Amino acid sequence: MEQENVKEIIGRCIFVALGSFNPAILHPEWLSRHKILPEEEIVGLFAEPLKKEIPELGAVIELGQNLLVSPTQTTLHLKSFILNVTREKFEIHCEKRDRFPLMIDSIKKIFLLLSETPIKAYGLNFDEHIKFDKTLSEIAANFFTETDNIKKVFGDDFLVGHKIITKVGEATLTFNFEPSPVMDDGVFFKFNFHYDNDAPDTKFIVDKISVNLERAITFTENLLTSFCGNMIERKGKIR
Amino acid sequence: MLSNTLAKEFIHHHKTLPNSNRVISSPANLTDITASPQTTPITEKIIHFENIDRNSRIQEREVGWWIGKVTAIREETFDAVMEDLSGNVNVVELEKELIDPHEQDLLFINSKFTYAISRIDKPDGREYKTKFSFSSRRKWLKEYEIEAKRLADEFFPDSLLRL
Repeated sequence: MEQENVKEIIGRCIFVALGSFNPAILHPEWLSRHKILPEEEIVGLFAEPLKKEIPELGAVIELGQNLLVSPTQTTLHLKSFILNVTREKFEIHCEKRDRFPLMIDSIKKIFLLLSETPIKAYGLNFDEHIKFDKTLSEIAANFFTETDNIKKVFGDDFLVGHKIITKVGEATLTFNFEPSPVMDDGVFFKFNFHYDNDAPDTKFIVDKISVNLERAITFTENLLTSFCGNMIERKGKIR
Repeated sequence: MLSNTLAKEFIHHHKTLPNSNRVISSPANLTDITASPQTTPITEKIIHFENIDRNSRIQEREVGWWIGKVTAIREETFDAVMEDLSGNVNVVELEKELIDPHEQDLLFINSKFTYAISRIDKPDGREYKTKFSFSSRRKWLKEYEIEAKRLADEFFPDSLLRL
């Protein structure tokens, strides 16, 4: 499925694992002790945030990395990604493509160390607001043809959004497509590559997450290149 | 039309992907996130800017990372099986001096540890750093038995068994 004109369209990724977790163990000192992340990712978490009040706006600007560790929730704003863990969910939000390898290595290290963690499933998510050189309508027409029956109900002037659920290799892919509310003539995509686990351990993540991320990115970028043309602009954050 | 040609190519390739199970349904446990396409309005009066590079001049890069399990202990050394992130397994002999004095009591057969080597580029030159840490799981000590018996007696008293 290699195509020469495929460029790096996917710029951010969210990893979500469902199961039973102990958020308190994911303390920055534990991450540092086991070298799960390099020092520069962690050191800022222990620094006092710099605060600047703006009385005119009634607001405070805070500079620094957020740190919350408790028995029910851990949130770490690391340099390269955000780690957010509750008792039921383990999430990593990575907004930088060049940090994907660090994210994947960290996930592998954590679940090699916590190998008895009961995990039901994990997902790789790509959510993007993108403007391509094809218009929203052209892209929508490529994905979902507007039939006469739909036009009879909604008229000629409407925007189409849809969801496709399919199997891609071992993943169940849920693909959402909507007009982007933050970009004129842009599209909003959500790709969820979902992997179920029947075993009581973390081996299915550690062994396959690298190759699964690579396959998910290749599939998504080939799909978008085929149907959407060339990317012009990307906007927004994951959340 | 170019796009249709590409779309056909894509569909052709898609069909060649290994699909072991063609029965498709929504995953029972959604690993999707609750992200909405709307931008998030500022609802709090604290505006937080993340990721300032307080130590941007320091760059630490990983040379190697292994997870290990102790298989034998000798007077000055111990044996271990170590696995890297690619799944490569090595049998090694390490010196006990590698262990932090505070973690000496965690050295026992089957104890788990991590071993990492990293390279740090600092303004005053390049340094190599090794880190060896045991997983915090402790071995069962003889003195734990007294405490375990006390707790068992408290929660399962003899009167409970006489019901």
